[in-house]
Amino acid sequence: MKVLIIDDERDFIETMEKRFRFRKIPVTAALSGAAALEILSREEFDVAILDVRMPGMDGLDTLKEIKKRYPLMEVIMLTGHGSIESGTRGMSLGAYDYVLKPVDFSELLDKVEKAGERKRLNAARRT
Amino acid sequence: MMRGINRHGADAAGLGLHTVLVPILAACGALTAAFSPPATAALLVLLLLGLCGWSSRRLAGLVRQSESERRLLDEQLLQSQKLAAVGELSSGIAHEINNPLAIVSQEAELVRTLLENRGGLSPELAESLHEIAVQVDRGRDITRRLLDFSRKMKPVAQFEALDKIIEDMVVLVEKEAGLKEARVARRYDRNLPLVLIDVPLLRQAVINLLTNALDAIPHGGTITVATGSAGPGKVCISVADNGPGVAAEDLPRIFNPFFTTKPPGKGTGLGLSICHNIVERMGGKILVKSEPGQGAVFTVVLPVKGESA
Repeated sequence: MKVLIIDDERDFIETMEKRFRFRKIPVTAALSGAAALEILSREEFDVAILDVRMPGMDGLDTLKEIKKRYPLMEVIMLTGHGSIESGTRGMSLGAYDYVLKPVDFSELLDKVEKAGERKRLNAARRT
Repeated sequence: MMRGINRHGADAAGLGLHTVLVPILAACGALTAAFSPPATAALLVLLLLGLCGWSSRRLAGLVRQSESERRLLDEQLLQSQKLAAVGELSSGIAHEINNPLAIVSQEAELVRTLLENRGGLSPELAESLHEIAVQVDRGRDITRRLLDFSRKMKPVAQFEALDKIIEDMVVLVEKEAGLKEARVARRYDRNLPLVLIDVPLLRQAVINLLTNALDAIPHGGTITVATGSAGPGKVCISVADNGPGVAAEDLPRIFNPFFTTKPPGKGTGLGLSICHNIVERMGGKILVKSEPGQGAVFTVVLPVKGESA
């Protein structure tokens, strides 16, 4: 399973990368929505972890683009306590699930795995 | 809890009591009365009268209940068929509308480029062009929701605990509820089996119901979320609010696309119809019980083993 993390906070990304790698899950980082779309145009991913509050192209717009171009990919939103409405909107836009920041890694991992499972099930069915 | 679903109103044993046992008792009683002194006979007859009266009332009640259950099912079937037809229609319309929207967008961009090449835009022109882009986006938003509504894609099923699916969404809504000093009460049945359903799809339906309830309640109001069993192989979720309730004439239309009781510009009127569509696609049913002044309860009944590939 391949995971793409999209967040503008480098520290957060580094922590996440370490923890995912420890569990042998390959993870790529993107620091913005635009960077993520660029990466996605070259490589396929199963699950994206997306911060809804980012400068530039914001989380929800990124989510919309991802769902439009790569509908099979599942997205898990990272919402802070100040961006709850984005969480709600994101669910209506097709996000798989959300996780509140500060992130409980085992909860995130569990959701990423379930999202990955759904992606596999969906992809298998389309062939 | 729910209107008429899964109630065994007229099962064989219950009917047998009225159609066999009561007549036999009546006959025995009558025979005994015939061979008894007048006083005892009178008493027996009175007793028999009471027994037959009770039996008739019960039977009449069962018949009425069965009739209203049938009517309810008929209404639901009609509603589903109507919505399926609307779904087909809206999908076609949404696709059609997306084309001119894309063109408007492109032309606006072209105008902007042409003006920039000719020495820049005045602030009013820039604002106008921006407004065009904003409105095109709104249009796209609506068509996307319409397409969501009519999407025929069959759901994917995964195992998950029902109360966990709902609680995640409740937590999101609860934070918004805090702004209105409203509270969300939970009544989860912890003994439910894991459900096999399309989890994010159910989440969407649940969050639609919750945000609807949140919009309905007054300051300091309450939303109550509950889960429970709805008979063998079925579970139910209910979202209740203590808002103004729904008028009787609006009830049959409440799941119709674009039907809304909100002022213009607030909400697309698609939330509940999307809910309905999602629940139907999962092989479930959604019901509403409401009276003006008494709030509303939306109940979703789902099969434990949902429809999947």
